[in-house]
Amino acid sequence: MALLEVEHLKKYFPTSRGVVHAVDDVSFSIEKGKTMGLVGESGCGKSTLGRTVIHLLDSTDGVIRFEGEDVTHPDKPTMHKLREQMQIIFQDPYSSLNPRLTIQETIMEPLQLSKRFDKTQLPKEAERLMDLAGIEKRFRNAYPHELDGGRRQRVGIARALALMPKFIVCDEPVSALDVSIQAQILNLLMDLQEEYGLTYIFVTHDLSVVRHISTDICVMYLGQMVETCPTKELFAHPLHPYTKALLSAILTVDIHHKNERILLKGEINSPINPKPGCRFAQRCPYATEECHQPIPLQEVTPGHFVACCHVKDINNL
Amino acid sequence: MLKTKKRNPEKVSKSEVPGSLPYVWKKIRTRRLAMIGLIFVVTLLILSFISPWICTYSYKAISMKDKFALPSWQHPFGCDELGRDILSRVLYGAKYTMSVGVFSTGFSCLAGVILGSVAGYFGGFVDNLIMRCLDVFQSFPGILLAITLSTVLGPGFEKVIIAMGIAYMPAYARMMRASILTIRDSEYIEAATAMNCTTFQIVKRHIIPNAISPLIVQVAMGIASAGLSASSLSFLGFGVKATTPEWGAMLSSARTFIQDYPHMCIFPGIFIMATVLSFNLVGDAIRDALDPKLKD
Amino acid sequence: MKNETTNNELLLSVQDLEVDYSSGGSTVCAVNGVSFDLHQGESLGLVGETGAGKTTIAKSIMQILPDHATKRVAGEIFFKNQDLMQMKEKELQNIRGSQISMVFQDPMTALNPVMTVGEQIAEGIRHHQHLDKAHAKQAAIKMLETVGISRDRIDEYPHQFSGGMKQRVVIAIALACNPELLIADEPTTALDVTIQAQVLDLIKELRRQKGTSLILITHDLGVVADTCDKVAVVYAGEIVEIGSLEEVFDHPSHPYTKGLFGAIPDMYKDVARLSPIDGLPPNPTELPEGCYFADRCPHATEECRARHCQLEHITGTHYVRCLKTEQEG
Repeated sequence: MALLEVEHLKKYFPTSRGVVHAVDDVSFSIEKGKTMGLVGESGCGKSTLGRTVIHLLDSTDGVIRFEGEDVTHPDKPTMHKLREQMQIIFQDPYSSLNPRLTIQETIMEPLQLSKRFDKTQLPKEAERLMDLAGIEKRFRNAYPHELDGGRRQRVGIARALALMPKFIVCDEPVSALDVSIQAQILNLLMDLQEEYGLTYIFVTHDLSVVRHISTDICVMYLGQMVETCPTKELFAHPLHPYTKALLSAILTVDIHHKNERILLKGEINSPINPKPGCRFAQRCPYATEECHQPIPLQEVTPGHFVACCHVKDINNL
Repeated sequence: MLKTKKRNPEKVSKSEVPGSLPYVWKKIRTRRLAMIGLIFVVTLLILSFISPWICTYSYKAISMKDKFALPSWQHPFGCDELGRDILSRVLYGAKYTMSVGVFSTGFSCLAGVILGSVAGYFGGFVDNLIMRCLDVFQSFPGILLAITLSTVLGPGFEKVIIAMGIAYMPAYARMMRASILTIRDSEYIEAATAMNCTTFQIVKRHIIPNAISPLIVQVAMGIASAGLSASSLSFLGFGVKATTPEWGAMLSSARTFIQDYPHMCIFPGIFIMATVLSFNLVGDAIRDALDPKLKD
Repeated sequence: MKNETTNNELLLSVQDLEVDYSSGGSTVCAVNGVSFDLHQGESLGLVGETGAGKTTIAKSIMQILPDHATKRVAGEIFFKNQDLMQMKEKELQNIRGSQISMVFQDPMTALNPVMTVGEQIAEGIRHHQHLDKAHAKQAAIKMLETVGISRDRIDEYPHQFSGGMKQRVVIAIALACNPELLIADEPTTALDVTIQAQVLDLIKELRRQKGTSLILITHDLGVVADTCDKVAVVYAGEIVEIGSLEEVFDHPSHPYTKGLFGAIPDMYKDVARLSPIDGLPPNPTELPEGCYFADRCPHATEECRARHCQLEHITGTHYVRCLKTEQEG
């Protein structure tokens, strides 16, 4: 059974310049123990989607189901329980920790709030979490500013794990880190997933990272989902023109393996009061009049969903 | 750019967290001028409270034979038009000027923090309502508002404090609101929400401690200007009762005799200046201590 | 160190560059004896992690190190056989912008928000080529079109441009006076992947047209593989490995370089776990006696910790700073 199902989820923000369609009619489901990679460029709504799913933001429309239960508009006690089961790890290890709390205080806070431990057990449990996340004991009483980015990110992870969640949204957790540290954190996340059967949504713009860690991938463009399928399938047979361009833009360290780059014209436009139809049409080399009609996700090959009206012609299917 | 990382985190004390109070204190101690200012203020305050026991003359003892006495060994600062010893009066009055400064700043700071926090955290209609009301207050010049309020409330020590507190509150509220707005969007606030922190806990534990540091500077500077304004109020006759040896009031009554007996103005004047300067020096040091760009 | 493969003239030669900053009472050794040569038309990638000293090297070449924090600068930087370190500010101003220019990481803060992009491009041209206003504007329009922005946008302000467009404008400003050396400090880090591809292609294209030499500073090995023909790997303020792109990428020889490659998820191979480099870079205020990488190195011995070794020649233009290679060679 799917742990999390999202159907036709929408999140709009009213602004003075118009309504921002940050997430527009997105549906997907994640099995327990899997990792769903949410990929897209800045402003495509991937972080908003992650936050809406765990109720840090209220959804505008649509249904969210967690363990089969409709939790779109939870009442207070349900929300309380839900929050313990859904956690988030943030991108910026500098702004995600309160600079006035020590590492131990930061990790103990969710434990205190959950009221599952009494005062004497708290430091012990915090120590266990620090071990789990690989934070040396000597940093117990240190403040965040004394730690490097990688260690801070470990604190963020320990804090998210404190409530023993089943589901964690990882919002670009390694984007701000150096490559050597990035690998440490990715390995830690994968180890924790194996040990506790965690389910992740992994939000990132880095396709090589997402290929490494995810089992399934959703590609988003300007609030819409353009393609979703298992990771292997996506990298082997990208079907949407945007996904193709995105994959071709990856810079690899393999200097003998140059991939042919599809250069997109223009830049991402704004998601304020968008016109109906495919939002990628403006930059798409295959765009026609037809593309201005709304286009739902279609199952093109088994398990591979694409939102493009020319998908069959482009890929000779 | 390279940053130094501190080693041995076990040994780290609170005084190394930038922006915390112990850290600020550590920084101030290294500034000579700020320490001089602080020592002056503290000494004056102590002297003011023990002055009835250490001064030879009472601040209110009238002695017509010493009328307008010039500074001498007996009366180092001379005497006023009723023959009262000016040194005793200046020392005794220090606690008025300073406590008006401290209490009115405390009052406006407290009220400002509460209003600013509420406005900044909740935003929307509440924010609009509070901030527009404060706009009305701010559209009057501070001293004029204080004069109006003290006319309505009448003279008296505690009334001056209330009048000044209200007059200076909008500045604190604005500042608090601005710093809350930036902190409210931090990811650690989101993290706190995600772990079921209540609104009250978030504000108390995560927002206020981080928002308060710019306010500390404003408070140190504010005490000086509030003290000055209190003296101005008394000078204009709206402050404490005329018989109270408040520095502004002393200046006001000495004003008439300034051509013949300038010492009556000079000494209270010097003390007002020195006190304001001292508070400003301390305020400067606090501001530098809290400014991350000036850290090294 | 001689470069044997290119016959072009030597453009820039950095010799034993050392830079110390003072920070909160302690001394940060940001750059510790960096030497490299750059010939005309070459592109060198400086790769390293945060705090490795890459940007400090670039700022030293531009001679724009912050006065208040810089404690000590030593070494020689020859640009066309003139030592930039000995030059007066006035002479430097004539070189900066016209012969060496720099592109910064963040296009959002590199442009003046109250000047039109046309004015900003023309400013440098007027200053260095002594053209009048009208001619400078013509030159600015040409430059704008070179970086792929239409000429009608010349009178627009930076806020009317998107991130990638702003970086194009920044590049246009940097290249406006046909500099011989372009220093690009993480030019695409703030940009999205598809925009990054556009900007890198633009830089490559302009280099082909104008023959500009390039120093590209980045933490991303992929960017180097795409854009550069020489690579220097910087660690704790010194070069640990330098060579041509093929030499370094096909035969990474320093344990740190090897570690970097192991830490990146590969696009063509599947691995269960990445192999990260353990630990952290050394504290730049108290660098160890021996090899700076010894604490994180899987092959480190007592000797590594005791002795700091020099860059050793392996093959062709390939040099490595590691005791192991020194002994094997």
